[in-house]
Amino acid sequence: MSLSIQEEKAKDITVLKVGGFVDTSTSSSLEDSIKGLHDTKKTKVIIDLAGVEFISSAGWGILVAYLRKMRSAGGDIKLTSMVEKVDNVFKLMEFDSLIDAYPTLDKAVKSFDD
Amino acid sequence: MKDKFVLRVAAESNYLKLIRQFFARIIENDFSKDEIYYMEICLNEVCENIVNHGYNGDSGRIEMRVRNEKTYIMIEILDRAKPFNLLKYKPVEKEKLVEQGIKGKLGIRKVKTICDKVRYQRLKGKNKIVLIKYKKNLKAAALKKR
Repeated sequence: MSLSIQEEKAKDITVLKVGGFVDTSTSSSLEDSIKGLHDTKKTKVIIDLAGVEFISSAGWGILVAYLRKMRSAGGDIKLTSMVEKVDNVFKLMEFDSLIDAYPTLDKAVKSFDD
Repeated sequence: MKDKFVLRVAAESNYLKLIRQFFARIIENDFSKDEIYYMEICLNEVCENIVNHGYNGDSGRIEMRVRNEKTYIMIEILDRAKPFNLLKYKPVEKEKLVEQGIKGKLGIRKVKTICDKVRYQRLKGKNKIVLIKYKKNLKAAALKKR
């Protein structure tokens, strides 16, 4: 498996369930999905990373780049269910101060009400 | 020297996973799973940079040489792309990443954060990046000997 992306809805929030690995060979699929949401004004987005084993800077870069666009449009990108090693890199790079991340999808959904 | 391995592949993104797997297999008995994962991240970042920015669509090759020494692992990554010294490259501050909507320039931050040493040389038309990671509990001993 390289990269799989499944789109689901939770209230007015779009959940992208991503699986596989995100490097420069697969990141365009992720970017296309997020860009598609932005272009159709679905700006409240949760990326469920439970099935992702590896994210390179190509992947993190897309999330960071679209974070600004979604926030400017009144929405946000939030992450959930990162596996431990991905979460470790996320924290190591101090992205946790840029992007909100939650241990469960429920908590991520509820965070949009805060 | 304990072990030495060489892998040469086309500079194409489809080979990144192979590069990561090849490297992880070499060091699987010498580092923790977390350390291996972090080093895979570093290696991937350097190679992604070569594919995307070095060759930038042109055909070329990446050569990876791995020396698995007693106290450290040394990875040399060579390419014939345009000169690029990542040590002179100033990573963007993370606060500005969002502010400016920058989607690149993250990998070098990772490499410098995770590796114990990073070196760059331009030799005979080749870029040579050297990454060194000390084996756990052996770093201090290695430094003492120098």
